[in-house]
Parts: sequence; structure tokens; C-alpha cells
Amino acid sequence: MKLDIAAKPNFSRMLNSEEDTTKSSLGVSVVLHILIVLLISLNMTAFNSLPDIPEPIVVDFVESAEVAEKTQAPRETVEPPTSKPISDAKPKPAEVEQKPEPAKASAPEPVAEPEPEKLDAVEEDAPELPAKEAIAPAPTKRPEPPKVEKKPEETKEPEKTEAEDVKPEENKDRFNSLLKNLAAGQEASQAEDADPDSRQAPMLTQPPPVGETMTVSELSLLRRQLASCWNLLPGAKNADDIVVEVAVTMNADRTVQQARVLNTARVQSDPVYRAAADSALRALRHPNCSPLELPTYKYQQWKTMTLRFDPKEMF
Amino acid sequence: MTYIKLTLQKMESIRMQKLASWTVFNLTVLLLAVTFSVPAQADLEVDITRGRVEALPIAITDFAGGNENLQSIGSQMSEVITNNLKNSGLFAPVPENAFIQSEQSLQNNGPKFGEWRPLNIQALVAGGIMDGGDGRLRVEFRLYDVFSEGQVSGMAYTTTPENWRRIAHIISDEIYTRLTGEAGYFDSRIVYISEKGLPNNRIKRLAIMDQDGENHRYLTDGSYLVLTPRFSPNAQEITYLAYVNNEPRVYLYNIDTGRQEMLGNFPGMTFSPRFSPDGNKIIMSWAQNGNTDIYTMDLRNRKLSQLTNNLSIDTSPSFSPDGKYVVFESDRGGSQQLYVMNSSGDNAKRITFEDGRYANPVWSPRGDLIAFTKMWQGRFYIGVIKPDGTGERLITSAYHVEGPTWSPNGRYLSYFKETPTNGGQGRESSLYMIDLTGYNERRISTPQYGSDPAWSALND
Repeated sequence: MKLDIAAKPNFSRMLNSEEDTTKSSLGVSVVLHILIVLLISLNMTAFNSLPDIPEPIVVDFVESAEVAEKTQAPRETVEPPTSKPISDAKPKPAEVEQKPEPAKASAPEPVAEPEPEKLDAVEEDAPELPAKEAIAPAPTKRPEPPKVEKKPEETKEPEKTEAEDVKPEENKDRFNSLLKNLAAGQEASQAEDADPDSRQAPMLTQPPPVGETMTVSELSLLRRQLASCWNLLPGAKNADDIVVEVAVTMNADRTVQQARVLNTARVQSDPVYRAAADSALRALRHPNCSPLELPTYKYQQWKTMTLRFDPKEMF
Repeated sequence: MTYIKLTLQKMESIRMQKLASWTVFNLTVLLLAVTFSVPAQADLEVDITRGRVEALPIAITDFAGGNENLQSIGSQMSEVITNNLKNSGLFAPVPENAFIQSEQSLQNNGPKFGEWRPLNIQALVAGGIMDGGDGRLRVEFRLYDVFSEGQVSGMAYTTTPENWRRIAHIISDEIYTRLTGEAGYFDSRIVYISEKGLPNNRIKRLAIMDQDGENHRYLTDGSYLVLTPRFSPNAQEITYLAYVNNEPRVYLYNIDTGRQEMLGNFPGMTFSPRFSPDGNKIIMSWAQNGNTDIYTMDLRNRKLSQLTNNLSIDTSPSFSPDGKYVVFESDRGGSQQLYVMNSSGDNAKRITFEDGRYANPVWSPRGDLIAFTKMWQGRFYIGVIKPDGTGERLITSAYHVEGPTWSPNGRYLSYFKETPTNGGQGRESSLYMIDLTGYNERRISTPQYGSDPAWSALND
């Protein structure tokens, strides 16, 4: 036993004399204990293969960036103010330009709309955005925004169309039919795709009190144009319950002056609804929907509109 | 006295006359107001009932970096974000060669919307990477609405350079959330069974990867069979079935430590495990004496509770996200169908009544749907149904398709498909994902064959 221990060079000096036996035993014990503690600590750090714990990611908001150039492209092409009260000098639509001048005379009141201002609905609909300086060329004159008049509740009744008369349960079924279902036949979806406008033709809810009313075909044209600009994102939870109503104030040149989502409370509280509202507003700002295809001489009829973006019929 | 009485009567009469006069006057005024008031002109109301179901055109520019290294990271981040959004099926990233404004110009001066509008791009993503000086990077991104010409989101992340891929996933989630209103799913992982070898001698290993297939690694060595892995709600643990020494038992695997632990050694067979939404329990099947019932085990005290007690086979249980209900499959009615019961085990109600057999139900994290596998007319289907048993839809089909698992936002499903090879001698299985609408199916690339995927929650 003694020889074995003495053979260890580290312990040889401690065991030189017999009288140190007790002391040396204590020393050995201490050293061994230290070794055990070291081994335990080594085991915890080196032998336990804990993976690298990734450093936490620090997240913070960034300020809104400067905007180098704001240009509502189609708006820039709108003619500057002229003496003409109703401007038909749009970039493209030939059929509107062919509208006879007498129609202007027949309008109940000349619309001396100054040059349209830039769209400013975003700030209202995206309140979380920090204010930004508009670098885009400012309009020379800011027209008085026409007041959007609140429509009485009862006017909603006559707006019921053939499609809307369907019972709620049936609408739910149709919502599901847009989503792929390998078990279902194709008849329902084919019927849906047939000709939406012919089925949904009567959209005018009540005869406007002033001037000539919008015809069914004119409204159909407007709906078709907006449908081509409206990107839907199907598949959201309760997508069939997301109807976005937008109050729109129009310029006489058929461009949108202001668009405002009516259900602001839900925009604030429901992210899915907010995304749907943004989608509706994007449709109104889409280059293909500016200007809107509206009869210029009926400006008084569409000066203010409530557009209801309701995807239920599609689903 | 009589005089006083008469006087009072006279006063009362005069008061009544005055009151009548006032009433007449008020009514007249009201009538005149109604008659001559000019009715307010009502707005024209138009219903837009159709739109385009198309992916949203979006431009994702390279993130600008101050030097070559940062520029390279920025370019890779842009690529990851582009692939994420494209694979979601909801976005159509516009090719980079169509861009007019450079990423450096975007970062330094802000966007020139006039150069993006003609491309019909509706959303624009720009970003930059800066060296933090302490070995860390600061990654900024901004999301712009091109048509409204405004910034709609902007965040900055400070982290180590090796975290760039994860930051790209987090930014993808931010973009997705802001534009769809739904939570994202890109910063998540998938655990699955990696398979190799002939059908009668397959080596099956537990493997884990990011949802886009990157960062792939194996968790088990293939020396024993593993099946049905399921993530814990915090995405740090996996429960699965393993045949160690040919004994099928439910195990727990801690991803951080690599530690495996058997969840009780019971006689018979325990299988089909899944975590409760709070992560405190495992719900599973236990087959003993020829009968299979559903049990829960409390992970804190290992206490076992029996939920079903039936002579039929009750299996594949899955909790609703609120933990109040459990959906499971059972043949108690004569054929394999889905049932929903309270989490206490009572009040079981059958929810599927169509032709065919139903299996592997799994409740959506958003609670509105239950996904399942269906065997019908010789084919397999993946379908969804509402928890009340209505609205069943079959969204994909194949020779053999099985094992749906939900993305953390409840918008996508992943599953595996098997196709026969060599004239039926072999078979190869791959992982797939599909949009809930059923229109955007794509294969998830894995190094070897893959089956039984389980999608994690978003990473912490």
C-alpha cells in the first residue's frame, strides 16, 4: 500500500517519514476530494454535450424611412385645372371622351371640381404608421372634400339582390365550394363562374334624387373593373364574415379623392379584417382602376359612393 | 270657499288651453319641418362581390450591406424570404431583374414609388444590414404598400451573424402577418421519420429540419424503429413511439439536451402520443388485453388517467387548442370514424358520417377545423372538417397519403405521400405541404425518404 502510493511522484514527499502518516492520509483525502469535485465540474461542463444556446435576438421597431419619391402615377397624368368644369381629358378611355357635351349641360349643377388632391386615405386606415413627409409634388389647390353623407339604414333593404336573397346556410355552403373539395361535383362552381354580372345585375339600391340614375350596365362595368383590381386571399378563418365597406369620395375626373374604411373599430382590433381592408383600398388605388369606368356626366350620382367588398359570393 | 274653488277651476282651464296651444304649435312645426326638409342625397352603394384569387405581387430586394460580406448575407436573406413567401402560395415575388431602383438607393434614400407602380407591385420589401461593431449584426427591414405609398411595417433585429437565416424567417413572418392578418409559420421546424432501405428492411430515424428543409439533422441513429413523432407546444420536446428491444413504448426527446426518456413501462403497447396544449400532459392509446383505450399522463406526476372505456379501438387522440375537447378515431359504431369528446372523456359524439373510413384526426391550432386521413373507394385522402361535423372537404388524394399535421398558424397542412416503385416491389415516401384551400401543394425536399411529419409551433 505504502509503496504503491509512494510510487506516485506527486505524493512521495508527503510520505517520507513515518510520523507524517496521519497528516499525509489527510492530505491524500483532501486531494482526492478536490479531484472528485474537479471531475464533477468537468463532467458538467465538458462531458455533457449541451448544444449551443443561441444568443437571444434583440428586436426593435425602426422608424419610417424617408420616401424618395411619392408619385401616384395615374394621378400625375390628370390634366391641370382648366376652365372646363368637367374634365374628360383622361389618359385613355375613349368611350368616356366621346360622351356628348350636352350631357354636361343636362347635369343639374356644374361641377367645378378643382384639381384632384392626392389620395390620403392611408393615414386614416393605417393609424399605426408614423407620419411621413410627402415629397411628391403637392397639388396646387386642395379642394374642399365633399362631405360623405351617412346613408339611412333603410336604404339597405332594397339593395338585396338575387344572390343575397339566398339563405345564410346556403351561402355558407357556397363559401366552402370555392375551397377545393375533391368529393364535390363541379356543377356548383361552374354555376358560380358562369357570369357573375348577369346574375348580380341589379345593384342600384334606390333612385338617386338628383340627375339621371346609373344604369345596370354602368354599375356592372364598375364592378367588373374593381373586381379585376381586387386581390383576395382566401382561406382565412371566418373569411365568409369579412365584408369591408369603403366610403369613397370621387373627383370629377373619375379618380378617387378619398377612400375610408367605415368599420374602423374592427380595423383596429382584427388583423385579418385589417388586411382585408387594406386589400380593398389597394383595389381602389390600383393603376387599372384609376380612373374608374364611370359616366362622367353622372358625376353627381357617383360623387360619393359606398363600396362593399364582399367575397362571400365567390366562395 | 266656493269662490276659491271656482277660481282654481278657471286657472286649471286656462292652463289646459295653453298646453293644447303649445301641442298644436309643436305639431305644426314638426309637420312643416318634415314637409319642407330637403332629403339628404344618398350615396351610391355598390357591392363588389368578386375579385381575383391571385398571389399578391411583391418585390423583395436584396438587403443592402456596407461591405462585401454583409452584402452577401443580405442577398441570401432576400433569397430565403423570397422562397418562403413564394412557397406560401399567397405571394408572387417579382423577378429581381425587373427592379429599377437599386437596394442601396432604397436603403439610403427610401423608395421611389413611381418606379415600382408600373410593375403592378403591391408590396415592396427593403432592408439593410449593419455591422454592430461587437461581432453582432443589426438587420433592418421595411415593408411598403406601393399603391398607398407608405411604410406599413418596419423592424430591426440585432443578433450574431450565424443567425441570419432565422432572422430571414422571422422577417418573412412579419411580412406575411402584416399582409394577410394571420400569424406566420416560417420560423418553425418539422420533425419527421427519415426512411432508408427496402420496404421490408427500412431504417427509420427521427430527423428535424426547418420548415423549408434547411438545417436538417438526425436525432436517432436508426438502431431502433421510431414512429409518430409529435412536438410539444414549446417546440423543445418531441414525443414519439419507439420499438426499443422490440417493445413499443412512448418516449420523450428533449431537443436541447438530446435526452430521451421512456414514458412509463406498461404491459401491452402504448402508442399514438400527442401533447396537450399546455404541454403538461401526453394523451395516447394504450392497448392491453386486446382492447385499446385513450389515456392521459400528467408529465409532472406521471399519473395516468383513463378517458375512454370501450370494447372498440379508440386511438389517435388530439386535443382542441383550448384543451376542452379531444378528437379521436374509433370503430365503436362499426366502422372507423371520428368522434369528439370532452377532455374528461365523457360526452363522445360522432362527427363523420360520410362513406369511407377516417383516421389520424388532428385539431387545427386556430381551432376551426380538424384534419384527417380518409380511406375511400380504394384511395387515400387528406381532408378537413369542422368540429361540429359539418363542412367536410377532401383537399388532396393519392395512392397512399396520410398523417396530416398543421402549420403553427393553422393555414397549411403537411403530410406524407407514398408512391409504389419497381412495379409495386418498392415504395418511396415524401413530405408535402398544401394550402388549406387545396390549391398549392408542394413537395418538401428531404435527404432521404420521409414520412410522418409533425410541425412545431413558432420558435421562441
